[in-house]
Amino acid sequence: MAVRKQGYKGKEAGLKIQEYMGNQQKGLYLRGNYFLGVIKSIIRQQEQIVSLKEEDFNLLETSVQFCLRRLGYAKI
Amino acid sequence: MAAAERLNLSLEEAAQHLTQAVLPVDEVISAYRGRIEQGKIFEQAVQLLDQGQYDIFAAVAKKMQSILIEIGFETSIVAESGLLISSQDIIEQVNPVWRNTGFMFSTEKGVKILKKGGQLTATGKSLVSLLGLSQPVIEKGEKTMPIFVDASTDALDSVNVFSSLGDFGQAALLPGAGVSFAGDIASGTQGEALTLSELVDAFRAKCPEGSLLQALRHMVLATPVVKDKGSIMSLYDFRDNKSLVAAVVESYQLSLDFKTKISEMTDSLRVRVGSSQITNKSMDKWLQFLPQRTTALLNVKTGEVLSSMNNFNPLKNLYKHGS
Repeated sequence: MAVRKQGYKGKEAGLKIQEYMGNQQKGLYLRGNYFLGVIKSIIRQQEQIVSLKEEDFNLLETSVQFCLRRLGYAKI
Repeated sequence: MAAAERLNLSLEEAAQHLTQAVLPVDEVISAYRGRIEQGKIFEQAVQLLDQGQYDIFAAVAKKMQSILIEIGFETSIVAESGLLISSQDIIEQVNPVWRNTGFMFSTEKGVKILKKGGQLTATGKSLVSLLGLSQPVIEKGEKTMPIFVDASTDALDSVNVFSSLGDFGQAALLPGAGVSFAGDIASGTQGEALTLSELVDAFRAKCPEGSLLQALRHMVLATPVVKDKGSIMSLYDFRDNKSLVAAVVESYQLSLDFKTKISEMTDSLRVRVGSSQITNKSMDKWLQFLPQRTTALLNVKTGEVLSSMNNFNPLKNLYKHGS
C-alpha cells in the first residue's frame, strides 16, 4: 500500500518492498505526532464504550477538538 | 555571476540589482541552478556575498512568501544576509565567549562577521541565523527556544553551541523530512524537483477548490518516510514528480475523509451518553484518569514535550547507531 502511494507499480513495487523489508538499516516509518497519537488512542478506546457519562463525553470531545486544532484542522 | 554577464555589469552592480529584485524570478532560479562553483570569479562572488550586504535572492523570496501566504502558511522569510547585518550587535555581545576559540571577528566594509579562518563556516552561519532569529522575540526576563528544522550536521552543531552559550536559552533541532525520488534526495539544483509554484499549479489543476496546506499537512502526518537507522535524515520517497503530485492530491481527499471519520466518531459517542458501561474492564482506569489526561493535554507546552522525548536528541541517536 505504502509502496503504491509512492508511485511504484508491478515489478518496481516488488523490488521496493524487498528493499525495505530486507534491509535492517533502512525502512518505512510513520513519523510520530503527539496530538495525532491522542486522537488515535481515543478512536481505539471508544469502540469498547457501550455508554458513557456526560462529563466523560465532554472530556473526550474537548480532547479531540483540541488535538485537531493543534494539528491545524478546522473545528469539526 | 550570470546576472553580471547578462547585464554587462560588475559583480557588485549585479548584486545590487538582484537585491532590488529587478530581475525576473525564473532568470534568478535558472542562474542559480546553472551556477559553476569554481574559478576566480566564483571566489570573488562568494567574498562579495560574505560581506552580508546583499540579498541576491530577494525576488525569489518575495515570490515564495506571497505563494506560501496564499496557500495558508504563516510565513516570514528572512535573508541570511539580513541576519548577518542585524546580528552585529548580538555578535558583539557574544564576542567574549568566542575569544580563544579559533573564531574571530572580521570587519569588512562596516559589517562585522564571525569568522573561522578565511570564511564564515556553515556552522557559524547557522549560529548567526539562530541568534539573529531568536533575539528580536525575547522580552526582558524571557528566554527563547528556537527550533531549527534541518537535518544537516551544521544545524546540529549550531543548536548545541547555541544552547551551551547559556545566556540565550535552549535551542532544539528537529531533523524534519525531505522529498526524494527513487531514493535520491530531490534537488532544485539538479532541476528535477518541482518548484513551489509548479506544485501549486499542479495541485490546482487536479483540485481547483482544494487546500494545498490541508493536503500537505495530512500527507506529512499519514505518509511513511524512508529512514536510515544510522542517519537523522527522513525522506518522503516517490517514484517521480508525477507520483508526488498524485500523493498530495490523494492526501487532500484523505484529509477530508479523516475529518468526516472524527466527526462521525464524536456523533456516535454523543448518542451513547448515559450511564457508564464498558466492554473491557481495563477501560475503567482509562476513564478514571480521563480528567487528569485532559488537563495535562490542554496545558501541554510544545517545548516541554520536545525536550522530554527520549529520541529528541538526534546526536544521541546518531551515537547510539554508531555513526
